[in-house]
Amino acid sequence: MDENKKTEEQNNGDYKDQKNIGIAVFLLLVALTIGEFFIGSIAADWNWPLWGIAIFKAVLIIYYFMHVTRLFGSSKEEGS
Amino acid sequence: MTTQVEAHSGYKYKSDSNRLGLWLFIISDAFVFGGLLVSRFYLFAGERPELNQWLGVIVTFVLLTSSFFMYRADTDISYGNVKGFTRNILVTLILGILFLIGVVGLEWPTAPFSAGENAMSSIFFTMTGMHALHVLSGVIFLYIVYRNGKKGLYSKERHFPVEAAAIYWHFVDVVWVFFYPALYLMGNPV
Amino acid sequence: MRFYKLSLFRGLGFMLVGTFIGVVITILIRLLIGLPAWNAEPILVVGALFGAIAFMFGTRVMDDWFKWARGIDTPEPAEDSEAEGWKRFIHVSFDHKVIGIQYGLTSILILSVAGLFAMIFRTELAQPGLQFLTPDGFNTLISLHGIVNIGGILLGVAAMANYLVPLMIGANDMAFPRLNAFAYWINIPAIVMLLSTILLGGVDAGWTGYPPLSENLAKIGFSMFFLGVYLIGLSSILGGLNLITTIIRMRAPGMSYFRMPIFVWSTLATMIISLTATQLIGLSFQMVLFDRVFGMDFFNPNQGGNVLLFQNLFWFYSHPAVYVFVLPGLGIISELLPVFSRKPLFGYRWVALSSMAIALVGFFVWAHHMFTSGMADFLRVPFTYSTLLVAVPTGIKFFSWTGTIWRGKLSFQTPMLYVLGAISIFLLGGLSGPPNATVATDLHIHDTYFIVGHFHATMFGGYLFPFVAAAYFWFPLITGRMYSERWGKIGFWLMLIGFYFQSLFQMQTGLLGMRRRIADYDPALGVDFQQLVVSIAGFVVGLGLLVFITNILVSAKRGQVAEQNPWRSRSPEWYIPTPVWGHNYEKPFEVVGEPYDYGLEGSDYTSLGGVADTPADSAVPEPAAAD
Repeated sequence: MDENKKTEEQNNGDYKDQKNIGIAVFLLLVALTIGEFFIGSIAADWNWPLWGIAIFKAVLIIYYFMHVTRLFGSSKEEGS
Repeated sequence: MTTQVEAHSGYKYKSDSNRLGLWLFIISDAFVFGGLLVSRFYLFAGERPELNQWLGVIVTFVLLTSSFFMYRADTDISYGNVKGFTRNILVTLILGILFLIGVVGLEWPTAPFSAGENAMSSIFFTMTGMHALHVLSGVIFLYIVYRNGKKGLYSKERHFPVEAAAIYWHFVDVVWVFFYPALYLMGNPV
Repeated sequence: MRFYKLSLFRGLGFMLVGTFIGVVITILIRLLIGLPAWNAEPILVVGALFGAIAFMFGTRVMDDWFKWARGIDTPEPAEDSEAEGWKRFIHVSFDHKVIGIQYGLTSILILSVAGLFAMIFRTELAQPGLQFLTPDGFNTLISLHGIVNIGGILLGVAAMANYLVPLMIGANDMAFPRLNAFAYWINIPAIVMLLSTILLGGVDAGWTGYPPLSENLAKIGFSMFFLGVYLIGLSSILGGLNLITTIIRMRAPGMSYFRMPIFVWSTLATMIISLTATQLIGLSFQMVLFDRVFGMDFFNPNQGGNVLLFQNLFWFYSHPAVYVFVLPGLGIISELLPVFSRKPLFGYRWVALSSMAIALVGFFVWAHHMFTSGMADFLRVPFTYSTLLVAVPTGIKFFSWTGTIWRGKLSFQTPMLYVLGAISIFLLGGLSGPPNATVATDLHIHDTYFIVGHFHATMFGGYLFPFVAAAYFWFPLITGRMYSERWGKIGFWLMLIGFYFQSLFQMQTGLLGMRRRIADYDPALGVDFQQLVVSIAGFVVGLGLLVFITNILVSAKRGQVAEQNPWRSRSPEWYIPTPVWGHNYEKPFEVVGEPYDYGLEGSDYTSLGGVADTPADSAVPEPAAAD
């Protein structure tokens, strides 16, 4: 029902926000990957930071890109 | 209260069921990749195969970027921007194919070992091969969605196939998030 | 409908052609990359894979999916099968009830095949010395007895879950009807592959298929074995996905999780295991297959491989798998006891959660199969304890069953007899478990007939008896007719007595020191008598099963027409006309009470109505003899 009351303007604002979130998350992922690459090239047996970064990256993708929260209802809010 | 029949049909209800099914499939699939990761470290804890580092990081970025464009395509269609959706999904598709070329077309032939050489090469080829198979099926899925999207089958309200393709594609990326360090970065090269 | 249009025959025809095409393509590719044209194993493996895919095309299960891919929307799958009568069961249908019966019939068929294998090698074992089997042939038979039974049990579990779950939760079908049909039909090529192993050199490494034996023996049968199990696993995974989604999404209004029937709870727990752990047996079998076909080295210690990796991956599924086999059966027991005791199920919530607990703990016990494998010693103790922990939720179930029977108004129709038999046998299986879980005793009895006796007890008590009980119990609903009560009881006593002799003497043989999987034994071991008894008892069990199968087949055709809800059950599926095809519930119903409040006056489970138990007529009426 909220959907119908939303003005065009609000909707456009949401759209922009969503796109900006995408860009921000992507840049963060890029930075983390560069970090991984450097850790990997300086220390061969430094595994735990790499695991930490990988898990963090996975959480970012699962939360922001895969919209895992849509599984638990309230999907309308995210404009699906 | 709506009747059961009404409640159990309708696009939104079905999409919610489909989404749950897809996630369950992804959980299930994650166990394959988890099993491969465990096997890789069970067999070789402190070692890794000798691979082309630059190629590795480049394909990683290609896949990451494709994930970003997939996100944009998904967002575009949820706000009714069909044109942006078509463009972004095409970019995703091309990046996916580039990733496949990078791994199967470049990394495999230039790797300094063959598949049947030893356990290390076996695990390398199985991990990348299994992942490449998923990328390939993702690319096919993306192509289907792209084609149907151009036919104008998706709209702001009805676009679950796009969302499904997006979730699957991001999942393939998540797998690579773990496989990349496990294959290229962790342990001493032998 | 002409026979060649029926999915089964069409699929098999396509499979033959597909296999041929696969073989030709592989030969061409081999020539192209400069390998010798003929190498039977890889060529046949790819051929079989093509055959399986072609089979699925042939059945037309996937037609709608291809239409969707081309952007064509299809209506909901037709409620009615195109085929009529018995042909319904060998033709593709998207009705969960038809699929459930298809699963059930296939399961009974291949369990019989596996039982036949057992009869052959039991005849061989009846006396010392080799009479008519070669050691290889013997080992192939025991391996196939194991794996075909496992396939059959998985199909039987799927049969019960498919038929009952949507009915019980008030849904008109599963969440993904097409996927459901796909998951059933993929089993057929898998079974063909498994049985083809006999012609392709056999599989003489035991049902576990441990490398290096399964990797180094140059018998194509092994590749078919791995591929077949892989496809059955795929079916299991897809079925699990479908059922979990159905249970979470499609319950009738008012049916909260703690108002679901217990069987639905146990299915949910089961399917969580199917969905996740099955992937790892798939992975391990895939690795052996790669080792065999591509010459990879996962399990070749000379090249850095490790055979224990296989055992870890394999048992990570195969131990939870036994809970896949028994949990639905235990659910059936909990489901039927209140009906035949006319009392509420004792401790409903605890029973519901105990299934989940068994499933969860089941993920952390796999290494108890590997105590003698040479794995790290310090891991033995934690795995002993985690294994013993399984006894706690299982104990809850036993406690609930005794509590339910306690002072109930019991009546002893065939399903109830099977349920009580199941409880007693599962108790035997359960009590013989801790000696295997404890390292000190396991080192002695590992790989002996004691283990054989133990797991046959768990399988009979946890799966076979409940399955037969369920088949008899829901028989009036499925067919609209009544089975023969007299033959049902005869079959029960044959199976029960046969089983006890078989299992107890197997255990004794094991304690006397005889190892399993050996075709011959030394008379000096002093187990001749026991082996003879086991063989005879095995045949008696087989006879009991034959009585069961004959009974349901004959009664389905000629049994007396059953009255509505003969057991006076509260479950919603009994309040619709039988036999029901197509749509389950004409109009939706609401859940208004607790599922098992038998004997409580004025309580209803659903808005469909209920049985008003008055103290006077509480026992289930004895159905009229139908023979």
